[in-house]
Amino acid sequence: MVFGVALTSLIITQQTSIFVGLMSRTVGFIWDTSQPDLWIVDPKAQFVDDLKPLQDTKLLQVRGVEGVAWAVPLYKGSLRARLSNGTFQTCNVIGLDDATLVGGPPTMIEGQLADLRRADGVIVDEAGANGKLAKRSTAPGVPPVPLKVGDTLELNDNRAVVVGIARTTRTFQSQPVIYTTYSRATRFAPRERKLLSFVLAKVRSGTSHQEVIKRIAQQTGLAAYTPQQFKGITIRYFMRNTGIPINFGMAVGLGFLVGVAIVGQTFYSFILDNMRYLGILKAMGASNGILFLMIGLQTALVGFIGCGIGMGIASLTSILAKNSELAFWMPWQIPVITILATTLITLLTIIFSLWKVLRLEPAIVFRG
Amino acid sequence: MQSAVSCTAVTKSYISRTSVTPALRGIDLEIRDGELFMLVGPSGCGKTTLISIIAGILNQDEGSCVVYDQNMKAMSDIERTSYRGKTVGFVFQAYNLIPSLTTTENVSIPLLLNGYSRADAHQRSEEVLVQVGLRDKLKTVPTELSGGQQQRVAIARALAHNPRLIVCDEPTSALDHTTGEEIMELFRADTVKGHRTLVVVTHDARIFKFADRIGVMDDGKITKVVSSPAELAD
Repeated sequence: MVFGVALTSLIITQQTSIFVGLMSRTVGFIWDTSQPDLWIVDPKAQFVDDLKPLQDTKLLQVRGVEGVAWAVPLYKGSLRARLSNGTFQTCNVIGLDDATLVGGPPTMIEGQLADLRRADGVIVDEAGANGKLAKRSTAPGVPPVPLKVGDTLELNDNRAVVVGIARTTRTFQSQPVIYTTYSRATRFAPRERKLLSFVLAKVRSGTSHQEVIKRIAQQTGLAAYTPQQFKGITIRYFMRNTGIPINFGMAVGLGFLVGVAIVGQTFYSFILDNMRYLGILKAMGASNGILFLMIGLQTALVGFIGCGIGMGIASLTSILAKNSELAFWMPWQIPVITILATTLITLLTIIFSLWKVLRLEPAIVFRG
Repeated sequence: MQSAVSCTAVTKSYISRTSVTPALRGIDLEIRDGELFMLVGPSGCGKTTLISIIAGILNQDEGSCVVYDQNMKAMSDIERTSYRGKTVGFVFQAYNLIPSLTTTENVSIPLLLNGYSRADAHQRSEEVLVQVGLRDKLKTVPTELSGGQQQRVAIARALAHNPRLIVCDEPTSALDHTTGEEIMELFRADTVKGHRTLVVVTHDARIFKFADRIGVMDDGKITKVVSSPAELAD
């Protein structure tokens, strides 16, 4: 029974955490770009990666809106990097405002953000540098060498020099992330009429964000979102338009059903096996209330231990998978959900089994 | 002598979907306070049904059964549960000790159900276990005991809360002759000492000599009540 509850809570915790982890990766870029108050995009953009480039003049229009303290351009696009062994790897290239470098990576591991001002300078994310962009030898069995400061890359036939390594939130597609300046990024990118992906803006202190959002919409025809709103619409897009929620929902639902089946069946068998002893207790004067309490306590204890084991294993998995591709994030709400689900399973089991106890005739004790 | 059990025209039938099987067909029986009364008769004659009604774990269909001035039929389920807990002790053919509990813990069950604290229950249980000759088995689990020792534990459990009535279902049938006699000696001594009433259902003719009276049952009726085993043959 403990195994059943543990398995259920493990499945529920793990699948929900992976689901939340995946969803958080969809908004990881917004998370990492913490300075702006507003993200300004084409009104048709449905989520953060739904890039509908804007005309450069839109930046100036936003800067002209009352209540905007500053506004900077941000480029985001997918470019192909040519690796040392001749293969290609698609990368997310982020172009930061040349002057301010607003929108840079949250944590620098090597180098500094200002190093982007060096010629052909790019900053590569740690996971990309150690993984998909690592230098691979053509000789078999030789492990890849992580990309380091000073190494060069070829981005869309343009030379780029690694000037820093940064830690970023992994992206949904798990592609390497490369930061550079806006002007360099637009030089690396294929020629297009419009290349401005976002305008990042700061609201003047003391001004209502919602008021500024309204003004931007009226004066520029663009949509402006707070980071929270932008995360919200991105997550909602993925929830509505991908099979992720239903797939994980199925796994979590199945985990719950497996739990109900295993725990219910095991506990029911336990009750049947011990029917004689319950009958003896009833014959000796144990009221239904005492038997309920006894069985309830026993089930609750099993639920508590099983839930603890399941969540413990799930947490251990998260620790072991910390630096892997596994998208695992367990905010406090997930253990609460798991505890509630386990409690529900335990309650269902108690109700199911107690029905049998309630109908138990103490006269069973005299049967052979 | 005061009456412990008084049954008048008690009937009981078991009803299934397809049939009605009469088990008791009008039992009239008087069991005196402090006596060791045995119920004998062929299998299926209704002995176990009768002690189940006397013990308050089964309802009769008709008639009246009064145990120590308490009318069984008039009691609610809660009152009946309380009655069993306070007034009745049980001894079963298969001992029915809870295997995961020690002897002391098994004997403590009726005491705990009667509101004793754990410490008091354990103390009283140990006293009774010593009385039945299990001084060195206080912390032993039932599976480590012989059949006779297990039955002694069952007797200790039946006696621990000092009930006025003890019902026993074939208490010696799983035991050898010597152990069976020892068990009945215990019962006999306790009945005399404790002014307790014992109703024993048995097939075991070897223990008839311990009875004050023997009620013979057949086909759901008491056919005769005798005072000595010798009268059974008549």
